[in-house]
Amino acid sequence: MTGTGSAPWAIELAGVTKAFDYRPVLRGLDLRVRTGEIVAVLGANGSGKSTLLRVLATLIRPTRGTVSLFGQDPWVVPDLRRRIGLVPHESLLYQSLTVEENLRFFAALYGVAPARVVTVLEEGDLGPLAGRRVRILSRGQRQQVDVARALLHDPSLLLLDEPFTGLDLDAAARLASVIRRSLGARTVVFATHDPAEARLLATGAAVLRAGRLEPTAPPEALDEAQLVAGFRGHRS
Amino acid sequence: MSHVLLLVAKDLRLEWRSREIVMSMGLVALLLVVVLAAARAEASLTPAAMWVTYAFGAAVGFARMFATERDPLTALLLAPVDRSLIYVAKVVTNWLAVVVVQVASLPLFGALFTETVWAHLPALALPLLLGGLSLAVVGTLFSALIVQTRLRDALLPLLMLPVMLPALIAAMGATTGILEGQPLAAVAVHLRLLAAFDMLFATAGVLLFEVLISE
Amino acid sequence: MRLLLTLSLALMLTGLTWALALAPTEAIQGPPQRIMYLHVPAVITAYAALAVVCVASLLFLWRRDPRWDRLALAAAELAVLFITMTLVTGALWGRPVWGTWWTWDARLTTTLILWFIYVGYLVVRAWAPGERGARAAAVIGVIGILDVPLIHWSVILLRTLHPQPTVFRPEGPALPVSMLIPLAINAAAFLTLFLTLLTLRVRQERTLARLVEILEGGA
Repeated sequence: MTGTGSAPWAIELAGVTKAFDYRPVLRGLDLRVRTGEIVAVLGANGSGKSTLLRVLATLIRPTRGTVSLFGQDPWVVPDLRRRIGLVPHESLLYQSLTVEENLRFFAALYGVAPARVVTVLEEGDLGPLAGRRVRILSRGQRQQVDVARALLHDPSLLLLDEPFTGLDLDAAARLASVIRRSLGARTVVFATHDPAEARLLATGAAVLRAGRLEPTAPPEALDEAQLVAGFRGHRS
Repeated sequence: MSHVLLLVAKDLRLEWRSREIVMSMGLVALLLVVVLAAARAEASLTPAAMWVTYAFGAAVGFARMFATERDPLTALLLAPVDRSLIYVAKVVTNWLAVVVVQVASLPLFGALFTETVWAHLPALALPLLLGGLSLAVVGTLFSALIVQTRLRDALLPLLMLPVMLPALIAAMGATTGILEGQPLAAVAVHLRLLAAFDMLFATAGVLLFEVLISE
Repeated sequence: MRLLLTLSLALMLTGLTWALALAPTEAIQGPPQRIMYLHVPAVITAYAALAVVCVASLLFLWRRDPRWDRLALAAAELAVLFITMTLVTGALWGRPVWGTWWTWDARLTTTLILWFIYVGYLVVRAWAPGERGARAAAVIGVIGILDVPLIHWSVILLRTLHPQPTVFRPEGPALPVSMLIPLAINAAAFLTLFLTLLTLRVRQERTLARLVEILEGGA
């Protein structure tokens, strides 16, 4: 696995604001994540979880605020993108190409040896799907291939947007184990609206509300009622 | 550079699977040649017929180009790849598509308009290639614009063709000269304009593409 | 604001009266030549508007400040308006004097193409609202201007029929002073009108933006 680098903080966001069409989604958001942690970002639909992940992936440039990944500004050091893997809501695969063709393409794009494609396919139990066109896969299968795609270049920072949606029990278990095994080796941030996922997998959690992150107690102590109340904007 | 080749190879493979772009371009071109020939099949009209066909064929074909790739484009943006290379690769792919249509339509022009296209073929290649490149350079940029703003595909001709006019005029001028048997030196002034157009808009395209693609 | 409005109205009234009634009739062309007093100022204003669109678009792309975008939009609308006026007055002038509504020379063709390009600008703004549409339109704004020298060049390669410049020539205007003065007044009138409308429109957009901000609890 790629080293996590000497930076103690994998992520440092300060005062990050992002407005779409002059309407703010993130408002002065702060976040610090230690290298090797697994963090769950919880929030209601439309709270800005996807936007936050895309800011972390350097897909979106904040309107205001600073972003620092592994101690460096990814907008100044574009090569940092090599260490980031993102699995967003939408599938990033080419529908008309096969699973294997897709993975080979992305491997070449990141300068990763073709042999890695085989490894990743095996690890994800995706061998039988290799020759199938992405278009004919089920949603859950596509999701699994997308995760494989994100892991191809062994990123130090893995970002997942509601990754368990649409996965069957086996696939969910496999993904959960990938996340768990990442502890200490890579930093993981995943967005979800299910507190159970946070409780089971994360070492830290925060609730995204009104464009800001509110830190919560350690995930094991996450109270369902607290989180639900958090979403609805009430105080319990 | 290898990234460009990689992207072009991917685009070609994608195109081979669906053949969407070449088909739509080819069919529009075919239709246009036939309609124009039916209207007035004079040898002197050949350059105009050719370039009207290529221009509209390109406008129709390019519109499909980014549409199928909206989401995977995000993956390209994530990768440590220079964003301008994405534009360059797309221009190359589109240029190839235009060239394919140009080559495929030559027999039609030869049969319906004038046989001189065959006699002057080597020299003719110059305005065809340079003009085709100008279509690709401008068309790719405006395609990206349309896809990013979720506008209707049908707007591409409206946006693209007015800007293309100087290149089309120059291409037609060169084509006319060559089909009349003039030496290349005689049409050099037209070719020079085409080359200048290509260079100017390729540079502008590279810069402006980033603006359109970013969030 | 009120000053601008009054000034432009005053200039317009003076200019038009002078042009239509007081200025001397041109020997060769006769009364239709008076269209020049509308046509030339329209051209000048159209290009002034285009210059504003170009600069504002570039600044918007550079700074992403919505104020530049509002300016570019207002200027683009006025540019299309004045280009239309140029084309129409040009045609009306051309028919009685030169026997033709239209000809494919460098200047006319450039103006016509610019009309299409900036109509495209407005279409994009209309159908792609928001920041993305603004950016896309700004790209068009920049490309349009880049195209101008090329259009000129390409058509000059073809032919030229437009009357050689009688006003903007290196040796100085060839018009007699009695015509130059009303022309200058009308030009000033048109430009002042342009500024007035531009200011009005920009303010309108700004108010709209503030309203949207308030309604959506903006930053």
